[in-house]
Amino acid sequence: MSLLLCALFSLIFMLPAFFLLRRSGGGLLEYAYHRSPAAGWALSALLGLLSLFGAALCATQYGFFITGAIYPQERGWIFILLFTLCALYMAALGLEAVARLSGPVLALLLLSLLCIVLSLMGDFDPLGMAPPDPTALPAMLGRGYSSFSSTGELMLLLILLPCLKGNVKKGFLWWLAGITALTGAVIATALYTIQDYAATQAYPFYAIAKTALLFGFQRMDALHLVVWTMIGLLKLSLYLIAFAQCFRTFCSPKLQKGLLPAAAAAVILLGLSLSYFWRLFSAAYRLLLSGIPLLCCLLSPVLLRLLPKGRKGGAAVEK
Amino acid sequence: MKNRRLRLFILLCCLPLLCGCMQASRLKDRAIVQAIGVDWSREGYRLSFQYFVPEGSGGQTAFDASKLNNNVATASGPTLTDAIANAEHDQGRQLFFGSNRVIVIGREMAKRDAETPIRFFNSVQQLSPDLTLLVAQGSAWEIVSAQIPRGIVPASAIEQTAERGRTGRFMHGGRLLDTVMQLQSDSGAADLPLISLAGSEEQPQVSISGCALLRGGRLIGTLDQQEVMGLLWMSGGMEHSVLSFPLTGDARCALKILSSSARLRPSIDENGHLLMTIEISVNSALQEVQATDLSRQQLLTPAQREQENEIRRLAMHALEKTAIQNGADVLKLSKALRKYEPGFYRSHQNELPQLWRNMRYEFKIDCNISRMGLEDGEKKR
Repeated sequence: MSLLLCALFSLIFMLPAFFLLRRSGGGLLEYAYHRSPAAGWALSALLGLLSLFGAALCATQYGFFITGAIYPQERGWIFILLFTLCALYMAALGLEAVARLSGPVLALLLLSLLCIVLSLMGDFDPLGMAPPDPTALPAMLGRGYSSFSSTGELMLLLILLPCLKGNVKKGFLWWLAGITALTGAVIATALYTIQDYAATQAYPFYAIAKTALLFGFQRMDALHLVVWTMIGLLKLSLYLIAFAQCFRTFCSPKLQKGLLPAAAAAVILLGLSLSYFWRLFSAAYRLLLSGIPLLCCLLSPVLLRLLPKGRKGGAAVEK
Repeated sequence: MKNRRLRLFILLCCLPLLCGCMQASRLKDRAIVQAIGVDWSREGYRLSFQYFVPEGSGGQTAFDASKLNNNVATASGPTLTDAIANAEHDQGRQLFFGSNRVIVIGREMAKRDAETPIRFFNSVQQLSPDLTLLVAQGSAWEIVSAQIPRGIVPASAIEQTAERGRTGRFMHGGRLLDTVMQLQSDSGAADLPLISLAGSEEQPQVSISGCALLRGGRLIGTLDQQEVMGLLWMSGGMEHSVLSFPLTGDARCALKILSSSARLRPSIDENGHLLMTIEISVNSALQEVQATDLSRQQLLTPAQREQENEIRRLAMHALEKTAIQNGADVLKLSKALRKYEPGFYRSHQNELPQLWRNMRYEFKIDCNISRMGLEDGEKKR
């Protein structure tokens, strides 16, 4: 139920942005520069910083996963460092390379989930899922909103919109339907098989992958780990590209080359700080779940629409 | 081209630097734990670890498959983490739990608090959620340190016994995953197989001797084998088991269960009382008939009737001992109630143990004997 609410929130908040941006014919940043150069600079800086924030959280969460579930004795810094450097390399290859890689990664993800789900079929229990409790609607709304708040991909979509080809609106709807169906299938599998056990684990599907046995194949946690590492890398590289996209108007063409390494360095520093200071991470995560970062991005086209059009509107886009 | 080769050469030269970012741990510095025992003592938790070691049997290097290659380490501490650290300190080795398959909780520990060690080991990242979790009739140390002459290490004998209990259908639950699921559910009750030491001092053996019933994280009672069978009938897990029961007079028959399923159906009667209908469906093969002159075909109807009575008797015994006497829901009654009667569940959520004690239970048992065996015809006098 909260998953459907998350999809609904995504749709509601993305529609005005799509509507306004379609009229301008570009992305969010282009639209902001079109409305007013000052607003364009401000929004570029804000979204660039938010991309950096999302990237640092992504790298930190990966570090937590590795040190929590696989190597509890080891320090997280090496994983954050290597993870970010790999993402930097991917980002340096360009958006097209990242997009091309995401196809096989999606296929691998579906394969790994299918293997785990099939291996869990022996534990299927029809009592696992209960009808939704109408008295728990506020809690469900809260969970749906939290899921929506942590969907940083919506911000990435608006920033990278000019780089996308084809019918973006249709693609977005397919993506939303796909991600909702996939997450729904994973949650339903967990509810019908491992049930309350899932609540005791930080990474329940990974824990279950350790027990999975299908056609004599064991240790599916290794497959699970590889797939989720690749997904994390794709996400982090997209954040780095988004950062570079936001800040390129502030730099000369020569300096633009240094944007990605600078972003990676900032992500490493921020990621290490977040992983070392739990309170800082907790505050950052609360900020993410509050939805403020995402809403800043998604509602900005509406706010920009309210601004009077600047005299030099459109000049920055040309530049 | 030359530049490219140079780059490749530099990259290859970097490879030796990437041989490990983490601290290496040599095999001889590790104690590969095969079984863990948890007891309670004056000093707090008393943990016993049976770990694989080739020298344990007197060998020097490679292990000898005809001997029991293990050592048992014991350590205590106010917390489980302390006890593990003390064991590592005493043994001079790092304990590795990745190969561990069995955890045994001593009876006294279970009476005091079984939930804390279960939850602790559930959070240990090296342990698999499908490892075998048992409660000992006596102390866990007795089970873990018993030198059972089967397999390469004695722990494999414990695991085999549990596995046999699972396939032979005389053990209900017994996986860490199942127990954590039960403890985490609304009822908070769980059942764990009971393991006891048997055989002689020189040739010890282990056997599954019933089931330990937990509620509120503590041992509140035990179930005998008959009651465990009742639980298994009600959870639909009796495939490949054997059921034997008396027929008229001295006659007796044994059935092989081909398939079985069970379903819980709660409903509210016209007086607003809760009724739990337990539907059990069984398909069996007539395996053996003793002390009767009747042919197998003639025995079909009485055998089906007696099978139904026997299943009802076993199931009722199990219900009496778990839900009715102890208010312990180990059959997912609360889940069934939440699914089929959500309104009633929400209004009685805080009084579930009383609910299990006071509600009516009804059985609908459908027994079918579909295979009669090869022997046929009446006995000639």
